Amino acid sequence: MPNTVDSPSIERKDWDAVQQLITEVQQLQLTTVWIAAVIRFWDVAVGVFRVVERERLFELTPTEGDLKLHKALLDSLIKLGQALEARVKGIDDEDLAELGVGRENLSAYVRELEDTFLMWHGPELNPARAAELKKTIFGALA
Amino acid sequence: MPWPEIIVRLFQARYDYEWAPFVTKAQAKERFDAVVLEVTVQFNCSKDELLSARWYHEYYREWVRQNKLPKPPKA
Repeated sequence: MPNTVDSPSIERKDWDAVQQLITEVQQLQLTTVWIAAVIRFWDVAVGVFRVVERERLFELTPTEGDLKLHKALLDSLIKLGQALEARVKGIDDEDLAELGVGRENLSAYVRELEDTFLMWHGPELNPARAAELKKTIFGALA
Repeated sequence: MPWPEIIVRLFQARYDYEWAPFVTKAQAKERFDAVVLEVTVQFNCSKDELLSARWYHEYYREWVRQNKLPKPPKA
């Protein structure tokens, strides 16, 4: 006969605790997968943004409307990227790597967009300094 | 006006950075930052000064147009 005893003291809440832990792990996995999917989706959005930017702002002379939309959409993409950067801070590198998301690539991506914002919409460099810099760089060729 | 060799390298690094696939963004950033550093040291300016100079920006646009650099298809 097995050496067991009746344990009326074991209550449903003990199993509930186990179930709760399992659910949390499942949710954590779901969350990690979900964040990776959102990052991929964001990447697609940035890719489309770059294509439209190229067509409207590089190949054509952009209108005021183009520039306004470019600024607003770029700002949104940067904020989304920054939020994703914050979200992945709590995820292990290994888990991220399994999902094909490198933390350093995400950070580099966000910095790239921030640089783009600076170039298109950042504060304009003092004209005298801009001219001085241009002369310094191109002076030897002039 | 011809672009100095170092500026062309900067433009190329920027272009490569902007169009790099997700998995190589960090490497592309390293290469871009290295050229930016080279430029800022050689011409005694900051990265922000360089990137926010409108002539730099316009020249980059011109360089992209002239070289007809490829862009990936829309997703």
